[in-house]
Amino acid sequence: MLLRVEKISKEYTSGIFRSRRHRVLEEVTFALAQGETLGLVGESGCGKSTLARIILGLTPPSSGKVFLLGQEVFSRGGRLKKEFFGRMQIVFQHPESALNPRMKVWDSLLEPLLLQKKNPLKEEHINRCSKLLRRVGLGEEYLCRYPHELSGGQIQRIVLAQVLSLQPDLLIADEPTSQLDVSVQAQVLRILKDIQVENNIGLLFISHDLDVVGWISDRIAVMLRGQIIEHAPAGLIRRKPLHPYTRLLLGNYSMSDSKKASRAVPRRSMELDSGIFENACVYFSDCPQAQQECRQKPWLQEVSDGHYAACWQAVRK
Amino acid sequence: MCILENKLAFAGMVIIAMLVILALFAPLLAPHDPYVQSLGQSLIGPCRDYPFGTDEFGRCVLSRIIYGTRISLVIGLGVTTMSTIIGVVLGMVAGFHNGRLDEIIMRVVDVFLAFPGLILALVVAGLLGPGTLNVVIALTVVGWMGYARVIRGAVLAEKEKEYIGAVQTFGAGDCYIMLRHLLPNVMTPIVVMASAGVGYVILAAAGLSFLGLGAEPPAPVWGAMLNYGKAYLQSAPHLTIFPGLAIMITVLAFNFLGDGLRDQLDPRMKNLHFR
Repeated sequence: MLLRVEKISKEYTSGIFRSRRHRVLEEVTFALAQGETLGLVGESGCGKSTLARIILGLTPPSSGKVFLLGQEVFSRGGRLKKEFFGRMQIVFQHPESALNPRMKVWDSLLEPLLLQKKNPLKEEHINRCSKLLRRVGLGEEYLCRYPHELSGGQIQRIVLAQVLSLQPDLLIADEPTSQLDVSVQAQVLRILKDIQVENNIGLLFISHDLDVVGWISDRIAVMLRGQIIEHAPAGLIRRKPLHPYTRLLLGNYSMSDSKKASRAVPRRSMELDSGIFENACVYFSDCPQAQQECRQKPWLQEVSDGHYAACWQAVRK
Repeated sequence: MCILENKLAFAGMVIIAMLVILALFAPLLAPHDPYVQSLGQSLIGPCRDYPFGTDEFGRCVLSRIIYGTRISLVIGLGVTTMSTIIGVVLGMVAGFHNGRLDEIIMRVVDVFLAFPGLILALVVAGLLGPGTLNVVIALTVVGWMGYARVIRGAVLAEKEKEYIGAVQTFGAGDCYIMLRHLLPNVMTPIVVMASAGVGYVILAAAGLSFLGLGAEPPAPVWGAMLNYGKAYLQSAPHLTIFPGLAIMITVLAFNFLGDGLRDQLDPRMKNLHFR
């Protein structure tokens, strides 16, 4: 396994006198093989981006471990160990802030190599960078420009080249195309997919768009309020969704029965925040099929081959 | 839009350039020695020999104002430079490591801001005694907090941007990120603040020396000249008018420059230009 994420939890506390805990991630566990793509789907605010930041070592987790090729990546303080710098990379959501606005594209492109103490003016690195640029479909005329002179799609491709220059083992794409035009989206996604296949990189693709995730991923994990509630191969989850929330997502996706679906759209209810349902299923307050047993939290169980779901009713069937 | 097209900013720059020339070449440009007293010629009004008249000891007011440019500029630029350095360092550290360190630094800032500025400067200058360097220290003590606050706010906003996260995954250290990425992107408000701040500092320095806390008496200081001239306000108004004008013109010039830089460096104005 390339990446193994084990029981990652993250809590924030707020308030001075009556401190309140906000649980953002709860025991998230999954694994990712080399060359595989895992799509992570969920509504905004469900903790997808926090999870990405934790895996990269940008935000220390409250508890849990992350393993890259069998080695634990965090030191005691929750920081990334030095030897893992540069081996896990990310493409972020907003192209307008993805590059330092005061640095020319060329300087940004060479920066990862410099930081990894590799002389970027060595021939092999220059060759590699220009090859990467061609690979992402950009000419060298872009190198002397500033980021504000480039379009969003161009910047995301520059970022791809920048990130790949370190030959990472793992690439996290955090909604890399959600801010782009549809036509540009397809182009960037295709480049991303091709490069991943060519270099046998593990890809964690985060999105709220099931359409995109379904196309690019081998497996899909669905997240709701900081927990993975269903996890299955991409084809299987679309043919046979088990969790009611996944069914809702897929229902929205096909735009059928939208009236019924809107009734089940999760909303952050007051009860949930006040902690009454602390031990209930995360979807309890919104689930159309909620039963008495759902007051106990279900865990992720294998329902059929490779298909995991955290729902009592799915398990019973 | 080039800053030279902004008429006020351009005027400010021309005046500042002239002041710098005056300060650098004071011995060549001043018609008389600013220290030589000739009691027989005291309190003469403006005439051909003494364009701005003479003071009660018969010293040339114009020459003293020209020499005074040196002290004013040294104090203005010195205090602003030191305040900026202190403010930028503390503000960056506070904004970047928000948490306990941030709390401590910002509460210190609050304590300093809670004192009335000029009174604190008076106390510090009084404790340190007269002298140009002590004025610089006193005004720095009361002047750095604004820079720290502005920098901290800008760093807080900037460090959440995605490219900072990306650079961290490349393996960049904190110092590298602060110097290479954060500093260039938060300098704009500081440049604007500092250029207008020079004017304020010169004004405050004039206030201090008016109260007798500045360079030692024979030295030509604008604020002190106002102080000595006030006894002759009725009989020889030129003793106060001309140093006052010098202070006013200098402060205005730096304020014009600050306003112009703000318009120039504001990203929204820049975008207007591109569209």
